[in-house]
Amino acid sequence: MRWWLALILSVFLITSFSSTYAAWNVEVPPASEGFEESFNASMPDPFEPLNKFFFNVNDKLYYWVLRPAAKGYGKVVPKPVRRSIDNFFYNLFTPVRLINELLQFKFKKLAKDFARFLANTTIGIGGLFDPAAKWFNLPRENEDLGQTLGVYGIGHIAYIDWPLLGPSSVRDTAGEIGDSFLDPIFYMVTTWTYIAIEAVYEFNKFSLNPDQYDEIKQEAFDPYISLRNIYFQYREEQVRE
Amino acid sequence: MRKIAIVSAVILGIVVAAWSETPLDVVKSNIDYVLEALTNKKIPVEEKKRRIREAFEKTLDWEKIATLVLGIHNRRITPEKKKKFTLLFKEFIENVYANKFLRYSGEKIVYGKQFISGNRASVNMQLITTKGQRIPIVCRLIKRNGKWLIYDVMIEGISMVNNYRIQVNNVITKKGIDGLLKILERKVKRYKKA
Repeated sequence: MRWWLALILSVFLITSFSSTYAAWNVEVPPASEGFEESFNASMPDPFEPLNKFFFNVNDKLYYWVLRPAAKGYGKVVPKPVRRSIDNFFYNLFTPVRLINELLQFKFKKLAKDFARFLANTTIGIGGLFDPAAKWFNLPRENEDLGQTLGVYGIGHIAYIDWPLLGPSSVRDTAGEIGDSFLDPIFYMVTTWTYIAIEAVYEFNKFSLNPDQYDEIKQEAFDPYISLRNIYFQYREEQVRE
Repeated sequence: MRKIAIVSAVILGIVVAAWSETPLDVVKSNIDYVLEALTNKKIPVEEKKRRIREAFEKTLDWEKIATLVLGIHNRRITPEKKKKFTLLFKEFIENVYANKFLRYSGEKIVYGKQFISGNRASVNMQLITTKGQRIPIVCRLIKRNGKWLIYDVMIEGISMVNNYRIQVNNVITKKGIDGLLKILERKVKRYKKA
């Protein structure tokens, strides 16, 4: 028990010193002239007609099924409970993130994420709560195999708007599949159970912010292009981090 | 004589204050101004909206934003159409962000470093949600007549200007500038109704 506490304490000490050099506080290039006139890189989309078809399917699915279902679920299950469910699964998937941080040689992030895992698994009661973010200045990290591939210099290849699952790319889809093979839980349960766990996690997460897609759509002149570009820019930023 | 001296000293003071305002000061003072209204329960929603719009009006470089969003089409459309686009786009963005601000529920803002190179600058911030999640935000600014004005906002790496430029290019290519103006008019009308 005592070595356990010592370990937690030492990891916190390391991370509290390193957190002053936060990754978000660096210059975003370019703040200089010239970039505005050129078009920035964008998502390759050779399957555009097919993607547009599934975009429309997803749009209907969202307004007719997913959002009403999520709102209904949100009425039955209170928000703090849904947050705890989200925290629990997020904590459960930590090994996958740790492996990806290792593969990207991001050792500082790895140390922080490990400290997060220890704190939330113990003080946060099996990951139900997030004292790491609230008290110890250790926010969530988002690392996956898609990003790892991106760090290695692999591009998206092509945009894919999956039915039900939404925006992704060839690279990120390969990453998602690879990530499940990196997950210890995948080997502990049957494949269907694993898919069910993922589905519950994703639906619960969706219920925490069910209006996001609607907002993107309201704010867009061309929702398909907007969603594709938001996905692209968001993933680029995650790879850069 | 003394009056003139005092008046000119005051004017000089104001001018110097305006000149020495750094990009970070501009961003921070305006966000503080809006947040002050948002956290005050006595202020009615309409007044809150007015303040948000006021802050947007004076701290954003709308001419620059419209030019950037139009991109390659900027020089191809008539000045009247550009003027119309600028006004509509401004109204649209003000409504979009007013709605976002009105949902404020105690998130904290941490200011980071500012980077200045010539007449361009960027200011780093983080929005910390009540859950403890951190959302990185970057404001991009340009110096106009000695004053720093915002021309782009990046939330989690997603640039507002970039996102609208790609869409605008797509819409203008397919439906022309009139098609775009029609979409904008419809959007603005919908916000007015709500």
